[in-house]
Amino acid sequence: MRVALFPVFLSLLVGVSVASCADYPRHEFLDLPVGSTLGEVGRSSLQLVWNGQAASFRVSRSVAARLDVTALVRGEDLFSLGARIVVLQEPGLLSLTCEVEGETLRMIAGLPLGPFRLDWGRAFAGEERRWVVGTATLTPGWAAVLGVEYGGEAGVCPLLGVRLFPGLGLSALLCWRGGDLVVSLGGER
Amino acid sequence: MRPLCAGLSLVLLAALLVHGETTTLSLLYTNDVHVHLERLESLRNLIAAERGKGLPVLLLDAGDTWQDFRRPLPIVWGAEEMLGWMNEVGYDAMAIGNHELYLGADRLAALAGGAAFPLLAANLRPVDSLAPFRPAMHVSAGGLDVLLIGLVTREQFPALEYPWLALEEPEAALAGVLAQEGGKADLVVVLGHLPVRDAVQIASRVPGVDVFVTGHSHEATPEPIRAGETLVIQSGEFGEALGRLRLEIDAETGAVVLGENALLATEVAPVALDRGYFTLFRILIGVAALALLLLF
Repeated sequence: MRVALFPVFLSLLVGVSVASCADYPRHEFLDLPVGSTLGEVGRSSLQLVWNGQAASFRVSRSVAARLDVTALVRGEDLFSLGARIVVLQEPGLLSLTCEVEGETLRMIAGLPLGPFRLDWGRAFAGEERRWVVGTATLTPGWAAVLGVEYGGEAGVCPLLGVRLFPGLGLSALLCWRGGDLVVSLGGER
Repeated sequence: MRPLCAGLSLVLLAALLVHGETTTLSLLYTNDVHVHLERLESLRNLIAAERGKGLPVLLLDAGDTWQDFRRPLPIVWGAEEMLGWMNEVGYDAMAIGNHELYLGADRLAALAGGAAFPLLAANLRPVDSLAPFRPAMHVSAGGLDVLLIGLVTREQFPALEYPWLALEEPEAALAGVLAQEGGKADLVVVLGHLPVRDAVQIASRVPGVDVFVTGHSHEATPEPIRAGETLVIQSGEFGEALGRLRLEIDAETGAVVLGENALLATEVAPVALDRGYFTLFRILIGVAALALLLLF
């Protein structure tokens, strides 16, 4: 059933986001936590993730300059609401974002360094894990992702991937995460 | 005395008829200043001296001016300082460099909003029209209609921060703008945050550019490099020199009949960096605290 929903999600995602991409969007979060919010009030982000076993679909909407609300649909708990707030933003550099989703609380720090970006964070409650992810933009259309997650039952889990930016407000992530291939597509409007 | 004056006038008139009437225009240009605030006072004096000569002047920057990771003190507060100075001395336009993009979409938009001059980048295509820069603009100087076009290098582009931007090949973008403009301008100046060799290559393939002000590669061109009809110039790095290209333009044909270039050396003046120390210290403490808190 979940597999069957995949093409439906995909067509919905592509159809909506291509039709109405707008001004200053920030990151497409994909399934890698990135320390940022959508920023502009009224902006929406759609994200579809397939990790080889289950699909999830997340809609985020910016309701204040530093606050997004999210709705997540996935196999395990079907539907959960969340919020993401930037609690610290140094000028153009360090940011700290707090994300609450279902029973999980995440703190995410981000340090953009031009074509490189470092994000690290920790999940409390619901899931217990930490991660460090570095992203390097190698050409304008794609970036390499390298990182490590650790904690919980999975232990240490390397992370290696590619992010693609076709330049239409859409982006994609292909990521090898401790033996699983994760495919994530996103768009903003 | 009167016959002598009349004779001289006749000689001048004859000279004008033989050579055609020309308009003189000074292009003052900087590139890759990289928040070297210690050069600004000297640059200001040179710009004022050039303006004082009474010739029409365009003051341009080819990008990488507001940011530099290699200078940790000025980058945390220097962009606003640079922008304030550029507003004061009256820049006419600036190309976006890759380092301006490193400021992030929000901060770049805020800075662009505070700029009294436009930011140009024809090969950065936003997914809609609301971007803090534009591809090109017309300015009037010395009675000439000057078309300014911005370009930015494809090297070291921070795609992660700008998934909403498509970065085109500079050559295609330039050709597109020129085709759209249809040769209406008297003078075409490209502000390209590109190395000299790239500009030469582009200019040799895309006709119609009179002057190509370059950047990114930190090169100095004491003599303009000719690529067909195009003069390619760059003023070095870190505000060490103010470039001055004096152009004589045939008012009838719009052809550049003379391009005389000079790199005017600047001097260093001390700059107080107290604010930078404080902000940088705060950021370092923040990074360390967050690393400890979240990772261990």
